[in-house]
Amino acid sequence: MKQFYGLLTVLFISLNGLLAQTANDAFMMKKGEICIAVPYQYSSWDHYWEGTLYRDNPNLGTVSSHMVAPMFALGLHSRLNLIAGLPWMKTKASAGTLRGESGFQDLSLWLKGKVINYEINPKHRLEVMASVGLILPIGSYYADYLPLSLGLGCKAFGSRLMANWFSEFGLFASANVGYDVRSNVKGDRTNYYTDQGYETNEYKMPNLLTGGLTLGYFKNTTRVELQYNMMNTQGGVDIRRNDAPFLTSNMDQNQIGAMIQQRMPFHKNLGIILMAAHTLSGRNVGKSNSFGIGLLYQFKLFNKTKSETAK
Amino acid sequence: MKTRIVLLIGIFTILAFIACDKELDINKNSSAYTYANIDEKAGQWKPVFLTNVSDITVSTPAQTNSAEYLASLASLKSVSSSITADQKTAIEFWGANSIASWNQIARTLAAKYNLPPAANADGTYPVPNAAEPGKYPYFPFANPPYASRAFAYLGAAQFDALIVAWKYKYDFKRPAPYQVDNTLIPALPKQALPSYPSEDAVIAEVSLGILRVMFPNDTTYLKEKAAELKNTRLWAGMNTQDDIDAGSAIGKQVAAKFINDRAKKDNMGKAISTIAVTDSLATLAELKYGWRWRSLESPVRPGMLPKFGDVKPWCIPDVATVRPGPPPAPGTPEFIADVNEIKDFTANPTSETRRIANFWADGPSTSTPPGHWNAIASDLILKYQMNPIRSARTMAYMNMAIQDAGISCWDTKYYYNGLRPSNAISDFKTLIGVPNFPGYISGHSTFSAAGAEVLAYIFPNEAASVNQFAQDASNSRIYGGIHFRVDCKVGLETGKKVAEYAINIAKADGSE
Repeated sequence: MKQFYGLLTVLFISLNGLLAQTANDAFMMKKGEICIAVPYQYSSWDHYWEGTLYRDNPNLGTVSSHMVAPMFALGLHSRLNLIAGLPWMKTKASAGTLRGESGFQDLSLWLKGKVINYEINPKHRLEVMASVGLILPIGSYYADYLPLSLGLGCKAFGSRLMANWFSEFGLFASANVGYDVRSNVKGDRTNYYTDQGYETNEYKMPNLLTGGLTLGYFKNTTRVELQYNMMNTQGGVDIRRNDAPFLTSNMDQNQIGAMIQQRMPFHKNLGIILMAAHTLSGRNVGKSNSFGIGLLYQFKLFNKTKSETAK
Repeated sequence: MKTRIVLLIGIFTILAFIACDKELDINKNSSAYTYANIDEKAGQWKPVFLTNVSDITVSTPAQTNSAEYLASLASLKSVSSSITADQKTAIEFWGANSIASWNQIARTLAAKYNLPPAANADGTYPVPNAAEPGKYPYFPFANPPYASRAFAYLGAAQFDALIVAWKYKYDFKRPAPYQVDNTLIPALPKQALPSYPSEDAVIAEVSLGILRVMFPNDTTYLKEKAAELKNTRLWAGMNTQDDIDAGSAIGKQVAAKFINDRAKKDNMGKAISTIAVTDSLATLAELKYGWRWRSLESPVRPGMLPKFGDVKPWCIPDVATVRPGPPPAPGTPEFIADVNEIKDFTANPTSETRRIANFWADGPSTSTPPGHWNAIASDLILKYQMNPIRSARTMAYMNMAIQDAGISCWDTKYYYNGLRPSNAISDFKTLIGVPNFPGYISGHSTFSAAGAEVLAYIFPNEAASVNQFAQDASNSRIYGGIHFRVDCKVGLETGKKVAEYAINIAKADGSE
């Protein structure tokens, strides 16, 4: 349920979809269902890739973020969900003089639809889903302040496509691919040099390709997922030797993660979420590790109609 | 339901396209213009460095009715009558004012080389080597003092070379090709200036001669740009080849004089130094005043250019004359007031203080504070449609004042070893990076007051605006948390005082 787009910021990055229901996971809610979740995540790194050079930086020490990311999802229809999220973050560097930041980050709004629902046989089912979304930096954070800014400050139009396989035993697998078209960002500099000199206060943001594979188990009140996620900006520039990261950096990342979502036996509307993620490799991003815990509450706002009760 | 989904996807797609116009407008060429004035008497102005204009020589041009000239005119007509799209782009880049175009190139190079070297594995720092500019750490590290010097040599040499050019223009009074043959339609506005020697060829060669020494790793690129500028004068039908050759000869001779007789002897080579020098200066200050600046970087980096105060100034008699008194000592009421003020600004930034802090940050990978003022000055020379020699005079005096400001400021910095807020206040956090040299007095304040003072003298109608820029630039250091108020206030005062020396020389150079 939470769009982790936000954390793409900052060298910190955390990829889409490690918690609950998201724009690119394999699940949808039924008509009239509402889910509210409040995950908390801690993310940190003490090494990063400056271009392709893997290094530490004693003038930053460990860069960390705390994030509380309230999200909301609504089943408009059994085949169409609305998902919204607005994270609040706080960043910090353990060394050096730069002040950490805190505040609201980017509002994300997604529509997620089930395009194909195909029963291979009574035991196996295939689904194809698609999401489109908007990411809007409504928090008044200062974007041109990497690696401590809360976000990248750009608007984005996101799209995701998911192919899912489910078995009656509860095993499932899902593959997703996505593309975000990002707007340019305006800052307060009058000039800057990255791959060439720019005499403008506008930064050309590369678009973003994302992808992921999930292997999971979902039955009754338990959902467990193992994930591989990647992101790759389409273009962008390497951080120059000993320069600071910049909004237009070429940020690539490969990450693995795990997520457990457990509904409470005493009150099935209530669930707890645990997650962890580890960065395997990257470029112009931090080698971050993330841990998260959250609560979710899911309930029916209105009754489903007969035609929509089928899974 | 289906139609609704289609509708929603349609809306999102439209929004995506709105977000999608991504090309940056980075080549803001100004339209070419007819010069506001051609300054016929500029050949008699006093140069800033050359002692005798007649030392620079050019050959006597052929008469415009000679067979030799007519052949070169015919060749020019042929070249300029069929220009390609690329040639047109080059004409547009250089056409309005090649002083402004070279200044833009210099600013870009300053930004390119404005990155401090990374530490070695053993915690020491490598020093850029001019003999191997392309080997990391690249030469130069174009920090603000280095950049101020590069801009000063560029402006001063361009100005002196154009005084020579103007002298010969009016000695020979050769009309422009389009005046000799009115069937030749140039691609740039006609000017009433005699065309021999070509002012743009002078500017091309003198700029190349200075910048290739300041940024040796980009010599090939600079040569290409100089050749391109000269070619645009042919493509645009503005100058014959011998106009250009004569201008080139002047530019080369003047650049060589500035480099050999001044740049190689101005003490810049000794300005960079080691931890031992930084420490000994700090120890001296500590004995005298009871405080010392310490590098905030890890590993500890030698202070930036501790001997830049010994570099030869352009207009001030010496640094001691303009050096301010010491800053207030820690614990005094003035000091405590400054501490409280900066704590408040950094703990409670507003969007406006933050905008100002970042707009004037001019940190790594930007063209530095002197570069920022060069961008302001370039806009003004274009706005007022200055001719090349007025433009060069503006750049020369502003940049000599700015370098003198830098020299005075760096002298003061290491003389007193004043504390940065981060040295004086425990757990103090800043909104911009803390530069690696002592606080008192603020470099940006000193540079900016000097730049503003000269620009206000040259463009009196802009005085209020440039003085506000200087005040904002100065305040930006307090808002960002890297300078106390006293650093900024005394920096502005010192910059202004330094600039008066440059302005007094300018007022007596015969141009008024």
